[in-house]
Amino acid sequence: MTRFDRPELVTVSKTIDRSAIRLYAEISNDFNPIHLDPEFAAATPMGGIIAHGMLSLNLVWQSLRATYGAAAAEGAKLDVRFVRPVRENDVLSAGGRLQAGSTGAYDVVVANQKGAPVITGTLTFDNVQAG
Amino acid sequence: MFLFDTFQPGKLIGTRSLTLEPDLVERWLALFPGDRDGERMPPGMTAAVFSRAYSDILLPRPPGNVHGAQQFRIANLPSIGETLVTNLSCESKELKGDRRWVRFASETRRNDRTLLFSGVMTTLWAK
Repeated sequence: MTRFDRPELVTVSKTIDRSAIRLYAEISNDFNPIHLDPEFAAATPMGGIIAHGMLSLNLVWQSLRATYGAAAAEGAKLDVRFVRPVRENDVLSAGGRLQAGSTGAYDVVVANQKGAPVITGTLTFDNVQAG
Repeated sequence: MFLFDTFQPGKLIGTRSLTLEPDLVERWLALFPGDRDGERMPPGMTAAVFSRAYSDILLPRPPGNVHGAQQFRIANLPSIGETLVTNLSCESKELKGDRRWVRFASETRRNDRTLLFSGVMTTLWAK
Protein backbone atom coordinates (compact mmCIF):
# COMPACT_ATOMS: atom_id res chain seq x y z
CA MET A 1 0.00 0.00 0.00
CA THR A 2 1.37 3.40 -0.96
CA ARG A 3 1.68 6.29 1.48
CA PHE A 4 0.46 9.30 -0.44
CA ASP A 5 2.20 11.83 1.73
CA ARG A 6 4.66 13.70 -0.45
CA PRO A 7 4.02 17.45 -0.11
CA GLU A 8 3.85 18.06 -3.86
CA LEU A 9 3.20 16.13 -7.04
CA VAL A 10 5.90 16.31 -9.70
CA THR A 11 5.17 19.02 -12.27
CA VAL A 12 4.74 17.91 -15.89
CA SER A 13 4.24 20.07 -18.99
CA LYS A 14 2.92 19.85 -22.53
CA THR A 15 2.25 22.18 -25.46
CA ILE A 16 -1.28 21.82 -26.76
CA ASP A 17 -0.92 22.53 -30.46
CA ARG A 18 -3.36 21.97 -33.33
CA SER A 19 -1.99 18.53 -34.13
CA ALA A 20 -2.45 17.42 -30.51
CA ILE A 21 -6.07 18.63 -30.54
CA ARG A 22 -6.74 16.86 -33.84
CA LEU A 23 -5.16 13.61 -32.63
CA TYR A 24 -7.14 13.74 -29.39
CA ALA A 25 -10.34 14.24 -31.40
CA GLU A 26 -9.58 11.08 -33.37
CA ILE A 27 -8.71 9.04 -30.28
CA SER A 28 -11.76 10.17 -28.31
CA ASN A 29 -14.10 10.34 -31.31
CA ASP A 30 -15.04 13.83 -30.13
CA PHE A 31 -15.28 16.02 -33.21
CA ASN A 32 -17.17 18.86 -31.55
CA PRO A 33 -16.57 21.79 -33.93
CA ILE A 34 -15.65 24.03 -31.02
CA HIS A 35 -12.34 22.10 -31.00
CA LEU A 36 -11.76 21.81 -34.74
CA ASP A 37 -13.67 24.40 -36.80
CA PRO A 38 -12.22 27.93 -36.47
CA GLU A 39 -15.27 29.66 -38.00
CA PHE A 40 -17.75 27.78 -35.83
CA ALA A 41 -15.65 28.29 -32.72
CA ALA A 42 -15.24 32.01 -33.39
CA ALA A 43 -19.01 32.42 -33.37
CA THR A 44 -19.42 30.81 -29.93
CA PRO A 45 -18.95 32.51 -26.55
CA MET A 46 -15.46 30.94 -26.50
CA GLY A 47 -14.47 33.17 -29.40
CA GLY A 48 -12.20 30.61 -31.01
CA ILE A 49 -10.93 27.07 -30.92
CA ILE A 50 -10.47 25.49 -27.52
CA ALA A 51 -8.84 22.16 -26.73
CA HIS A 52 -10.78 19.25 -25.28
CA GLY A 53 -10.73 19.56 -21.51
CA MET A 54 -9.90 15.88 -21.14
CA LEU A 55 -6.80 16.26 -23.29
CA SER A 56 -5.35 18.60 -20.68
CA LEU A 57 -6.69 16.45 -17.85
CA ASN A 58 -4.21 13.72 -18.71
CA LEU A 59 -1.42 15.93 -17.39
CA VAL A 60 -2.77 15.31 -13.87
CA TRP A 61 -2.50 11.55 -14.38
CA GLN A 62 1.01 12.08 -15.69
CA SER A 63 1.90 14.14 -12.64
CA LEU A 64 0.59 11.35 -10.40
CA ARG A 65 2.62 8.75 -12.26
CA ALA A 66 5.78 10.88 -12.13
CA THR A 67 5.37 11.09 -8.35
CA TYR A 68 4.14 7.66 -7.28
CA GLY A 69 4.50 5.37 -10.29
CA ALA A 70 2.08 3.92 -12.80
CA ALA A 71 0.21 1.70 -10.34
CA ALA A 72 -0.94 4.66 -8.25
CA ALA A 73 -3.84 5.40 -10.61
CA GLU A 74 -5.75 2.30 -9.51
CA GLY A 75 -7.75 3.40 -6.51
CA ALA A 76 -7.49 7.08 -7.41
CA LYS A 77 -10.37 9.50 -7.74
CA LEU A 78 -10.00 12.69 -9.74
CA ASP A 79 -12.61 15.43 -9.41
CA VAL A 80 -11.98 18.55 -11.47
CA ARG A 81 -13.54 21.64 -12.99
CA PHE A 82 -12.53 23.12 -16.33
CA VAL A 83 -12.23 26.72 -15.25
CA ARG A 84 -10.65 28.36 -18.28
CA PRO A 85 -10.38 27.38 -21.95
CA VAL A 86 -7.13 26.02 -23.35
CA ARG A 87 -6.18 27.70 -26.62
CA GLU A 88 -4.03 26.40 -29.44
CA ASN A 89 -0.34 26.48 -28.55
CA ASP A 90 -0.91 27.01 -24.86
CA VAL A 91 1.87 25.49 -22.77
CA LEU A 92 0.34 23.71 -19.82
CA SER A 93 1.89 22.61 -16.55
CA ALA A 94 0.25 20.31 -14.03
CA GLY A 95 0.99 19.49 -10.44
CA GLY A 96 -0.54 19.17 -7.03
CA ARG A 97 -0.12 20.02 -3.39
CA LEU A 98 -0.99 17.82 -0.41
CA GLN A 99 -3.93 19.28 1.48
CA ALA A 100 -3.03 20.61 4.91
CA GLY A 101 -3.15 17.92 7.55
CA SER A 102 -4.03 15.29 4.99
CA THR A 103 -2.67 12.01 3.79
CA GLY A 104 -3.87 11.05 0.37
CA ALA A 105 -5.68 14.20 -0.77
CA TYR A 106 -4.12 16.64 -3.18
CA ASP A 107 -5.30 19.91 -4.61
CA VAL A 108 -4.40 19.64 -8.28
CA VAL A 109 -4.07 22.31 -10.90
CA VAL A 110 -3.29 22.57 -14.57
CA ALA A 111 -2.15 26.07 -15.53
CA ASN A 112 -1.30 27.77 -18.81
CA GLN A 113 1.89 29.62 -19.70
CA LYS A 114 0.54 32.75 -18.00
CA GLY A 115 0.11 30.85 -14.76
CA ALA A 116 -3.68 30.98 -15.04
CA PRO A 117 -5.45 27.80 -13.92
CA VAL A 118 -7.33 25.92 -16.64
CA ILE A 119 -8.23 22.90 -14.50
CA THR A 120 -8.58 22.78 -10.72
CA GLY A 121 -9.70 19.99 -8.47
CA THR A 122 -8.79 17.25 -6.07
CA LEU A 123 -7.07 13.89 -6.32
CA THR A 124 -7.80 11.33 -3.62
CA PHE A 125 -7.08 7.65 -3.07
CA ASP A 126 -9.09 4.71 -1.84
CA ASN A 127 -6.16 2.83 -0.37
CA VAL A 128 -4.39 5.22 1.96
CA GLN A 129 -1.98 4.03 4.60
CA ALA A 130 -2.53 5.93 7.82
CA GLY A 131 0.25 8.31 8.67
CA MET B 1 -31.80 14.98 -31.44
CA PHE B 2 -30.83 14.78 -27.77
CA LEU B 3 -32.09 18.02 -26.27
CA PHE B 4 -32.06 19.18 -22.66
CA ASP B 5 -35.70 18.15 -22.31
CA THR B 6 -34.85 14.65 -23.58
CA PHE B 7 -32.84 13.68 -20.52
CA GLN B 8 -34.50 11.88 -17.62
CA PRO B 9 -32.43 11.90 -14.41
CA GLY B 10 -31.71 8.40 -13.14
CA LYS B 11 -32.30 6.76 -16.52
CA LEU B 12 -29.83 4.69 -18.48
CA ILE B 13 -29.28 6.33 -21.87
CA GLY B 14 -27.26 3.63 -23.57
CA THR B 15 -24.45 1.09 -23.53
CA ARG B 16 -21.47 0.72 -25.83
CA SER B 17 -18.65 -1.79 -26.13
CA LEU B 18 -15.13 -0.93 -27.14
CA THR B 19 -12.28 -3.32 -27.74
CA LEU B 20 -9.05 -1.70 -26.67
CA GLU B 21 -7.20 -2.25 -29.92
CA PRO B 22 -3.42 -1.81 -29.95
CA ASP B 23 -3.77 0.81 -32.69
CA LEU B 24 -5.92 3.04 -30.49
CA VAL B 25 -3.44 2.79 -27.63
CA GLU B 26 -0.53 3.52 -29.97
CA ARG B 27 -2.27 6.70 -31.14
CA TRP B 28 -2.61 7.72 -27.51
CA LEU B 29 1.07 7.02 -26.96
CA ALA B 30 1.90 9.14 -30.00
CA LEU B 31 0.17 11.99 -28.21
CA PHE B 32 1.58 11.13 -24.75
CA PRO B 33 4.78 9.11 -25.26
CA GLY B 34 5.49 8.91 -21.54
CA ASP B 35 2.28 7.02 -20.82
CA ARG B 36 3.46 3.58 -21.94
CA ASP B 37 2.97 0.99 -19.20
CA GLY B 38 3.41 -2.45 -20.73
CA GLU B 39 0.07 -4.06 -21.51
CA ARG B 40 -1.90 -1.79 -19.17
CA MET B 41 -4.07 1.03 -20.53
CA PRO B 42 -2.80 4.49 -19.53
CA PRO B 43 -5.15 6.06 -16.95
CA GLY B 44 -5.80 9.12 -19.12
CA MET B 45 -7.45 6.87 -21.68
CA THR B 46 -10.39 6.53 -19.29
CA ALA B 47 -11.40 9.86 -20.83
CA ALA B 48 -11.14 8.50 -24.36
CA VAL B 49 -13.20 5.41 -23.51
CA PHE B 50 -15.81 7.60 -21.85
CA SER B 51 -15.87 10.10 -24.73
CA ARG B 52 -16.28 7.36 -27.34
CA ALA B 53 -19.29 5.97 -25.53
CA TYR B 54 -20.71 9.45 -25.02
CA SER B 55 -20.16 10.40 -28.68
CA ASP B 56 -21.70 7.15 -29.97
CA ILE B 57 -24.72 7.13 -27.68
CA LEU B 58 -25.72 10.78 -27.74
CA LEU B 59 -26.41 11.07 -31.45
CA PRO B 60 -27.55 13.38 -32.82
CA ARG B 61 -26.82 16.15 -30.37
CA PRO B 62 -26.56 19.91 -30.81
CA PRO B 63 -23.08 21.25 -31.60
CA GLY B 64 -21.20 23.39 -29.13
CA ASN B 65 -21.68 21.63 -25.80
CA VAL B 66 -19.14 22.80 -23.22
CA HIS B 67 -17.49 20.47 -20.71
CA GLY B 68 -17.67 22.04 -17.27
CA ALA B 69 -16.46 19.40 -14.83
CA GLN B 70 -15.40 15.78 -14.65
CA GLN B 71 -14.86 13.03 -12.13
CA PHE B 72 -13.09 9.73 -12.67
CA ARG B 73 -12.62 6.93 -10.18
CA ILE B 74 -10.34 4.12 -11.31
CA ALA B 75 -10.78 0.71 -9.72
CA ASN B 76 -8.77 -1.34 -12.22
CA LEU B 77 -7.05 -0.46 -15.47
CA PRO B 78 -7.75 -2.82 -18.37
CA SER B 79 -5.17 -4.47 -20.56
CA ILE B 80 -4.71 -3.83 -24.25
CA GLY B 81 -7.02 -6.10 -26.22
CA GLU B 82 -9.76 -6.27 -23.58
CA THR B 83 -13.37 -5.44 -24.40
CA LEU B 84 -14.82 -2.67 -22.27
CA VAL B 85 -18.54 -2.11 -21.74
CA THR B 86 -19.65 1.41 -20.80
CA ASN B 87 -23.09 2.36 -19.48
CA LEU B 88 -24.08 6.02 -19.77
CA SER B 89 -26.92 7.47 -17.75
CA CYS B 90 -28.29 10.90 -16.89
CA GLU B 91 -27.49 11.57 -13.26
CA SER B 92 -29.19 14.97 -13.05
CA LYS B 93 -29.98 18.13 -14.96
CA GLU B 94 -30.50 21.72 -13.91
CA LEU B 95 -31.59 24.94 -15.58
CA LYS B 96 -29.72 27.96 -14.18
CA GLY B 97 -30.97 31.07 -15.93
CA ASP B 98 -30.49 30.26 -19.60
CA ARG B 99 -27.78 27.68 -18.88
CA ARG B 100 -28.75 24.04 -19.26
CA TRP B 101 -26.48 21.83 -17.14
CA VAL B 102 -26.56 18.04 -17.54
CA ARG B 103 -24.59 15.52 -15.46
CA PHE B 104 -23.86 12.19 -17.12
CA ALA B 105 -22.70 9.19 -15.09
CA SER B 106 -20.72 6.34 -16.60
CA GLU B 107 -19.51 2.92 -15.51
CA THR B 108 -17.05 0.91 -17.54
CA ARG B 109 -16.74 -2.81 -16.85
CA ARG B 110 -15.14 -5.92 -18.26
CA ASN B 111 -17.38 -8.45 -19.97
CA ASP B 112 -17.40 -10.39 -16.67
CA ARG B 113 -18.90 -7.25 -15.01
CA THR B 114 -15.75 -6.36 -13.06
CA LEU B 115 -15.78 -2.61 -12.51
CA LEU B 116 -12.86 -0.87 -14.20
CA PHE B 117 -13.67 2.82 -13.78
CA SER B 118 -16.55 5.22 -13.40
CA GLY B 119 -17.08 8.88 -14.15
CA VAL B 120 -19.39 11.85 -13.94
CA MET B 121 -19.36 14.51 -16.64
CA THR B 122 -20.97 17.92 -16.15
CA THR B 123 -21.85 19.58 -19.44
CA LEU B 124 -23.37 22.88 -20.48
CA TRP B 125 -25.82 21.58 -23.04
CA ALA B 126 -26.23 23.58 -26.25
CA LYS B 127 -29.61 24.43 -27.80
